[in-house]
Amino acid sequence: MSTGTTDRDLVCRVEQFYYREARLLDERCFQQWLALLDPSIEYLIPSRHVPMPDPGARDTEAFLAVDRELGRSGPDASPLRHDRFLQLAMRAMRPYKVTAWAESPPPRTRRMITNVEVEPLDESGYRVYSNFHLFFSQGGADNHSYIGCRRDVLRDVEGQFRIVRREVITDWDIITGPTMALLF
Amino acid sequence: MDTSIRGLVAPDGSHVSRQVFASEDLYRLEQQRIFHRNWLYLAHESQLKHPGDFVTACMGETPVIVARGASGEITASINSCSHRGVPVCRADRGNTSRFVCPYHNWAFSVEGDLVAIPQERKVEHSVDKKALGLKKVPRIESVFGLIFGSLNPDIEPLEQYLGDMRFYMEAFFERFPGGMEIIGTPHKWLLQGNWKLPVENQLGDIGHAPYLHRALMSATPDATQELEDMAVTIVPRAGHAASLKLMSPDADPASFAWGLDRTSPPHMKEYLLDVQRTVAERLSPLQARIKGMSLGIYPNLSLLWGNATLRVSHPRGPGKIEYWSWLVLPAQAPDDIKEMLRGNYSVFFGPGGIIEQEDSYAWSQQLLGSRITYLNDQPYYYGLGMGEETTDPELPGIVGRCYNEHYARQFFARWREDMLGQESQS
Repeated sequence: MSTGTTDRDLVCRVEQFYYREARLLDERCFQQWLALLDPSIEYLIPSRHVPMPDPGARDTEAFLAVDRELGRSGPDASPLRHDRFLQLAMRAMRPYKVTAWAESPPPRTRRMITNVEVEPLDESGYRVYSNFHLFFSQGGADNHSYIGCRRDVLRDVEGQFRIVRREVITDWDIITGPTMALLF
Repeated sequence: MDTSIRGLVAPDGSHVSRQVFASEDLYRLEQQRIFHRNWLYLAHESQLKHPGDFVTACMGETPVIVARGASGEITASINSCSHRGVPVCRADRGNTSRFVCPYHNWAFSVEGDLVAIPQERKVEHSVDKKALGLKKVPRIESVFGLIFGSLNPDIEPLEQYLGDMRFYMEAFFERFPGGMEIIGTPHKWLLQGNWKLPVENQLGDIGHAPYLHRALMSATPDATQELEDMAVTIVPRAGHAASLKLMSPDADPASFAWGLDRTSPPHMKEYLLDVQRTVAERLSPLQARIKGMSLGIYPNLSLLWGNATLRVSHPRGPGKIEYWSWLVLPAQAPDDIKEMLRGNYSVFFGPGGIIEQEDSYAWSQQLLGSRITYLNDQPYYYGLGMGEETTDPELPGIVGRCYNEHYARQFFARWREDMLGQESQS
């Protein structure tokens, strides 16, 4: 098992970064959110399915490995999303139009970020695990909860974190939220 | 019920009652008269390459296992143990020789035959295992790698069911040497709405794009102009439709080769253009000129041609859809090109797509209107372009220009016929 940092100052800085990010998204400041991204960002939401158990892996943790359920990348995978900066910018800019009908009225969202674990990768890079609970309300009593985890790579650029990579793993195989086109 | 169904859809399909999208009684009847009687899409042959390969599918609300049996033949059986009904397969896909029911461990072959009852030797009288296999889907037929099944043993052959729709299917599914293949697992999501609305949308509602998707299309006014000038929706047989642009014989292949866009790097452009140049010879000059938009096959299969996605709208009650959406790509394309083509789907369509985000929102909002019983006397209007549809000297089927809703009128006229079917025969 990899060991996370116990540098309280670092963990606190990362948490504060995530809280600020969540607040920007919940306050619909998607354009400001773009400034938190590294231009080389890779933003991946793997697909998730129910595989056949592998009898050869029985009695080991590999038998229940979450990775077996995920479709990430490569020619045989069909992830839900594999965005770069351009696609994220399209998503971030789209709602600010009168004709953005899917945001008319705009959904009300609230993001809770927890379980933050920080692992230093190199001098300025960190692998960070976190969980999220995104509450989504748009049409009257039609409310939804999105729950999952994020595996990020953050880079410290002159005292400011930038998201270099984000993988969002959700805990359903049949998506019951109205859209996965949100910013998680 | 028969009398009330007659009044729900005008015989010419120009008016469709709101109840068609919201009534629980009609929904129950649809399970029998639509989903138990027609050909339904089950799976693609590329998902079942080897004996023992299987995927799960749904025929309306009926869960099925589609498999390649030990002898290489494709079979489909209902996923419910003959003993107490528990699903024998709980995985979405895999390769196996046995499905074991968890409850008492009755074991079935991948073809659905009952091969073992663990308790059998512990009781005295023998059990006729041959009679206790998983119930088989009585009819299975394939076209261009697409496997269809029907719960209706007396249904017409698939080829006849599709009619001239095959011509348009061939133009997509056989466009690339080696055909198309399904990539990964389907994206499944539960939407508020009635299963028929996504079907209708992707059958031929190309005219909604400049309006519902204006936020995205306003950046490309030429695309809207091209849509209005060139796009047509063709109905080869009521319930099926193809939307496309027929390019002129001297059009530049770079303006319509499948998968190509302005961001394609040179080697990808070269590959896609090379394929486009061979379509006239491998298929036909007419099929080579097709720049496809969507295909729809009655009752609930859709294909978004340019966005490389095949989808089925599964009914889950009058107001719920379990939408299954697959990425489909040329089987023999180089791996790096496949990865680049993937973005044509996932950025725009599927649960994370920015276009489908708007579509699915509209579909869920339509349900709110359909549930207003006070408006049961105010049916939805499907008469746009009525009577303006015509035949084409080249393309088989009835052709309507952008905004002509004849594809939907034909769909609902067929739905009406199906829903009346059994009672009017008996």
